[in-house]
Amino acid sequence: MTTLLAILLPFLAILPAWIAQRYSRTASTLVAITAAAASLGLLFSRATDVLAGRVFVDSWPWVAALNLNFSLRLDGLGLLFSILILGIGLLVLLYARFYLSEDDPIGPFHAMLLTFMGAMLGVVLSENLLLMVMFWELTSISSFFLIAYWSHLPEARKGARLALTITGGGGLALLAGVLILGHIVGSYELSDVLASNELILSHAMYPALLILVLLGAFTKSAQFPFHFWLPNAMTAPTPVSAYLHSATMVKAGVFLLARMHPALSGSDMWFYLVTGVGLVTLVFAAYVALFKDDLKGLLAYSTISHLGLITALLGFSTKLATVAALFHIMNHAAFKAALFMTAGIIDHEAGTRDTRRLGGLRHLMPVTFTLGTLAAAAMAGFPPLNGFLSKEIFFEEAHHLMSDGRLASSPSWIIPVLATTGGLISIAYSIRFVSAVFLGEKRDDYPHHPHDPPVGMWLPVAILASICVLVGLAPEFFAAPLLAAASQAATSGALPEYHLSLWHGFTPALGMTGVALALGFALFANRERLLQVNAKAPDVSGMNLTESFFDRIMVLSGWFTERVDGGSLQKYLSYMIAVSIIAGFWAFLQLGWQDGSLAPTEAPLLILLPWGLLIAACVFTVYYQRKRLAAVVFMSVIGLLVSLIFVYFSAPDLGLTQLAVEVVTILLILLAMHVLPERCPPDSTGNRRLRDATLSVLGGFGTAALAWGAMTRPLKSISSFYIDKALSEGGGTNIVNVILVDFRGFDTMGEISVLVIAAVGIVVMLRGNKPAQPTQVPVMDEERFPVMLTSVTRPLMPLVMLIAVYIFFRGHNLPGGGFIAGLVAAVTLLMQYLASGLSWSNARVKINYLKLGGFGVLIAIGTGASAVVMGKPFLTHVMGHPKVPLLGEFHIGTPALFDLGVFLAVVGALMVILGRLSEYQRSSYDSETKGDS
Amino acid sequence: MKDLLILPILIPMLTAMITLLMGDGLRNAKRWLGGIAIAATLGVSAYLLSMSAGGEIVTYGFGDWPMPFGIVFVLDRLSGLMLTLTGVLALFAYVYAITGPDTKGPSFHFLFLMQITGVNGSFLTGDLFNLFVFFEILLLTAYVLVVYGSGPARTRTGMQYVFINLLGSSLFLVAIGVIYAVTGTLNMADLAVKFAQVGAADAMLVRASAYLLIVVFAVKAGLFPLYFWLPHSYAAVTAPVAALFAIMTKVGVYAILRSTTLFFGPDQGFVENLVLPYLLPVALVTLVAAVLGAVSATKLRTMAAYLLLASIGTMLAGIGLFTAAGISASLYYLLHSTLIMGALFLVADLVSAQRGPDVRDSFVAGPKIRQPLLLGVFFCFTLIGVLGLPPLSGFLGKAQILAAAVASPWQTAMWATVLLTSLLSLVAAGRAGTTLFWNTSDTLETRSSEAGWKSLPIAGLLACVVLLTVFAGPLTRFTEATANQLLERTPYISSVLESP
Amino acid sequence: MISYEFLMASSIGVLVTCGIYLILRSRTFPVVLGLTLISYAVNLFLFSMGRLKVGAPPILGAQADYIDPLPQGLVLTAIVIGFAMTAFAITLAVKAHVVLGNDHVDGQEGA
Repeated sequence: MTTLLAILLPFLAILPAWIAQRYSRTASTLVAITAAAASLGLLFSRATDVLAGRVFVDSWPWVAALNLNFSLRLDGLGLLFSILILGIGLLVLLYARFYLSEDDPIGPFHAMLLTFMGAMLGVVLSENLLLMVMFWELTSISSFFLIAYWSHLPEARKGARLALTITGGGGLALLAGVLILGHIVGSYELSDVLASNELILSHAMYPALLILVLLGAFTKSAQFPFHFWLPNAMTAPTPVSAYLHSATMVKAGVFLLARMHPALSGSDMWFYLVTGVGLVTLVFAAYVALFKDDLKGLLAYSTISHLGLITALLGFSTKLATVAALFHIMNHAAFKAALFMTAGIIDHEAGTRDTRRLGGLRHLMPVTFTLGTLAAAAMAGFPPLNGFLSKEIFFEEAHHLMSDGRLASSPSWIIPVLATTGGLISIAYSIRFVSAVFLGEKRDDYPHHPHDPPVGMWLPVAILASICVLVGLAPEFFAAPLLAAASQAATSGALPEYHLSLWHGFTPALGMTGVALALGFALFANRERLLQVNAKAPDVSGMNLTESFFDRIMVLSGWFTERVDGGSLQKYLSYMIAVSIIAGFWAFLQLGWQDGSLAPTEAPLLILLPWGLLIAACVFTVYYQRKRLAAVVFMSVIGLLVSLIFVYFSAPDLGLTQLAVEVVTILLILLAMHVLPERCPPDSTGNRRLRDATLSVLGGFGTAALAWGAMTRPLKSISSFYIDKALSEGGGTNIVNVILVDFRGFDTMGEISVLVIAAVGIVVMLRGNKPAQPTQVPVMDEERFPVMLTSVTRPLMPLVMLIAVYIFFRGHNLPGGGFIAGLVAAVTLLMQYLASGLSWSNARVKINYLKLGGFGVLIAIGTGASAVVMGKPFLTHVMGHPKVPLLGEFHIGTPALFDLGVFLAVVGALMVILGRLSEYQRSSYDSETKGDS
Repeated sequence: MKDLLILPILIPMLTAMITLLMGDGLRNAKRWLGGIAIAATLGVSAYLLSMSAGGEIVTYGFGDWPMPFGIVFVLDRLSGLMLTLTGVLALFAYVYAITGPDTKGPSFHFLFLMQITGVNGSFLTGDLFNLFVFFEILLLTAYVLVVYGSGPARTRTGMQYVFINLLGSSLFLVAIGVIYAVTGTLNMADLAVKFAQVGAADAMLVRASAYLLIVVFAVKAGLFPLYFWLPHSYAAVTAPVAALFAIMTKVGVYAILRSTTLFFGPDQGFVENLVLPYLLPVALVTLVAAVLGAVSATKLRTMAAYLLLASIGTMLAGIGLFTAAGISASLYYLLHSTLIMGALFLVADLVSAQRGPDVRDSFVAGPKIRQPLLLGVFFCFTLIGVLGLPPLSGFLGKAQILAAAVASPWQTAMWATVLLTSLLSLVAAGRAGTTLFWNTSDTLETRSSEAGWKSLPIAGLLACVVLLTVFAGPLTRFTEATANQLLERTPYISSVLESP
Repeated sequence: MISYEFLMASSIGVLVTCGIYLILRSRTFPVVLGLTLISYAVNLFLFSMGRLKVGAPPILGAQADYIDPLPQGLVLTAIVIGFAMTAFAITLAVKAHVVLGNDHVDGQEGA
């Protein structure tokens, strides 16, 4: 519980700190500081037990499916890092209060800083590795916002994105690695993972797992070749650099190595990878740091270099090396944070952090000078400061490795040499830091007038510097207990005897230090000469590399998307048709074609006539596609033939419906033709036509094959039920109609609502951007119409309507029913439109057809629901069979009502669709004619 | 009690027709009516979810006809889950809509409600042809909603949307036809039985029809190379509609999941494990292609649409593993991605509005956003969710899907694809966000307006995502149960065919 | 020998062929024609799944043998839905021409 609270406190303080900004910047700072201090206090309350070697594990179940529990672990390692995070966090918060200017919003700053603090605590205090990964990514995200704090600067945005890309990517790799780990161990809980070193090392997936985890660690700790995001992150405000990019976040990587050390180390792969990367980073980064003119740049590279040192130590994975690694983590955090703050002070006071414009500041800023020099000395590893101690053990261990079996193959002297080189360069750049800033002649061209900052700014530096001194002088008292506890957690088994002190007698390490000192000074002295060499060397900025890499990816993906997509409907359709063809034929290819067992029924020769006509009509429709009217004529022929086919093959209802629909469809197309341009240019190339023809033929053939295959097989379907029950239970002899209104009435309900939706849709679409007002319809009025048509249709109206009613009522027993009746009625009314013009018809038939359609659907629903009221399922029929003169016996019952609903829906929808379209067409026609006149 | 099964259809349908009878005016009345209807539908759906949780499969036969002759609704855990998800998303999208977008034309509420009807029907029906009918309802409504509020872009993409899906419907009919010709039935449970009994003589027909059926569903779900119509139209439609459309692709996913588990599972004769070899690779290709699209997008809404497709790829990859773990993981991820994508479309609309008509949501330097803090929080919250970053449920979902793939032959391919595409979309999102929010001139877009009530539904959706995260434990337990139920075919079949 | 089945299958095939070719054109009008042809084809296809019988209408009492009525029911639904869709498509084409000023399916010339 204590641990949980310690993690939660920073998160809980986010909003208060943000809001407190309203009152004053100090208030906001106080809130943040209180939270951090309280959290630190909580952890201290458990410190004594932890130092005694106890491990606190609190666990709450979360996602069992993922073995993800919200379980926390407070052990020595966690405590060490928590103290770094919170302790330095406190100092940074204080420092930032004075560093940030009045117009820098401090609320968001604290919010993100606290988020980071909490996330970082989560990383170091997680017992469940998946949980740790979650906090891990959260640190990347919060660091993104902190780097981009001055978001108006393009470099800040770029740097932030770069950091997010690299560390975020590393986080994904880590996730993968952890998932494998969990798969091997069967749990993500550290207690289990740390206990299964052999199991892990022996597993086939170990190499993959190790590489993935190391990717995570190396990216976060800016190890070569992933180092470059860190220097670019220096666009962040200096407090952030001091906190995230020297003391804590970049340490997450090495923390992970230490955490996983007992579980993953012990293989040659670990040794070579970690040690190798560490040493390369150590030397390479130190060398670059030597030439950086920007103070923060120098410090950034030196940070990378020191992280390399720590990584190398963990790579050695001897117990003492691990101790040294953790020791150096503490020390580095202390002096590097101090140095960053110093750089910040100089930037703040002198107005620049470019070494070429600085120098001689020791007179103007004595305090800063003293503190900065102390910290720099610690960084260089001069006795009697803390840096010296850890570096001594580093040298010692590096030397020990010469006698280590693992290096039998490779030249064993290489490691000590690299170690010493790293050491001497860091001495050189440390000296340079001091000399370039403080030593030399006082200048008069500083951008500002430098002087020591307010106490609030130098106090944190002073505290850190004094830690460097105290730990250096009395390590046993100040560092040893915590270090021991931490090392215990990072190694398995008992720790060896070791003794932290300045003097170990005349050891090889001492010799290496001596060499490093001598050469270090020499190097610094001759830096200028090296500079010439370095100036020639190309400056490889990973920033530009990455940026251009992702630019290339953007170009590529743009090309790809344009290529496959290209916003062309024809392309999409051809894809879809192609896929369907492949899907269909794939089955044939797999199983081969099998003929059906049913003998085809012989057809009279005469039937060839309509068949030929149909084929011809199809071909002509295609041929005349640009001659509108011709195409439509041929199409109507096809429609007619289709309805005849239905009638011929014993589907009278279909025939009728198809016929009626046909009429209406043709009408629609004719209406559309008025608006659409007269003829369309042939715009597809020969190849295109060929491709389309191929697709068409394949598609047609495939469909035909399916049809043939299906028709030549005997059918055993559920339909016998409908035939048996149509009359006895459905109360009708027209089975199809009974199916529509009863057996599958629910389909019909959906279908009529589709009609109504279509009507609504057309209303919606044709509303607005009309060429002219819908109301005024000068054309298509009485006089404009053939007297014949008018005089015929008007008297016919009632008659046809009667027919419609008849069709409706006989529907249940003979071909007909709501659909067809509705269609007939609608067509009749439409005749009126055409014959007599809108105004005439509207004058006589005052109906809102849209509402009529909706009403129809409601009736259908209502009849269905009535059954529910009677405790029957929806759409259960209820009926009786009275005899009625003239019409004969027919049923009164919910099916009839339902059919009425269908009838009304059809009429309403059709009238709306055609009415609106003809109005639209007419009004646009007007506008055209108006345009001409 | 059983009658409740029809309410997710009847409530919205009935209300829709009533709003139709109310004519053009009475906007506020319609708003309230629609809101109440959607809330009621959500309530019923939630209740049905609790009904299904026990594992009992509830059926409802229309017209009181015996199975397999009548149309039947079937409620199992999956249906309950999808219904509830639809309800939640629809409610928030609707609230956003009635802050203004619904005034862009007539009958908005009618269409919105019919859309819900179509979606819910597709989730509930146990009859293949009835599924077709509900597809048509939701499609036609979608057609109208795409062109809603008109404008050239909408009309243009509207045509693509309409023509593609019309072809899809025809394909669906052909598939249904052949299936009927071979099996002689339409009831899905009955089909599951009949498919297993298909003899060698009819094997190639039934398999062809099965493939075609999957193609139809793939178009709905938005699988490569059948999704190209989607990004353009989703990027053009009004925000609440785009948000609601986040569920549309899931109808396709649902249909694929349902058919592959019910029809094309193991020991199903000639359609046994039909899509097993294809689904996962195709899903991965979809994921890659979609993310490339997102990277190359030049405006936020297009990017959102592509990210939606990417999420489809991810979840179908999980389903493609055909293990309880994979399906369960994908279902959890489906819940998350549907809600968060809905939120993203709404956020994109706010951003676009507050950057003004000159730059809208395109990735170029523009005027300051009026409420940078509010929108910034919304934006990064939403994107963290969309990208599957911690600490939101997206991460939990992705992690589950990846974990489900461990030790499967597809592990390497799947992990590489998912992780690399995640990184790519992270980069793309980073660029997008920094440009939209930070690459600004100092002049404020004066014409822009405050978010006001519009931020309510967004906050609501994000709150839901937080709930998904916090209650991931019980939820994953439910999705696991759902996955197991899906892989257990017999109870479904018997409870339908032996229903009184 | 010429069989009903063959004639029906071939007719469907030709309808589909012409339909597909037309919907792949770049102008809305041919595309609408194509969709209509395809819907004819699909209706015939669905209908023929009930097998072909002459003089066996699904009206009780007329005769002993009845054609499978269910496909007819489905086709009826399909016809009406198809009509609704076609109507919408046509209107959309008209609207597009007015809004976009051309009748290209992508709303822009030469796309």
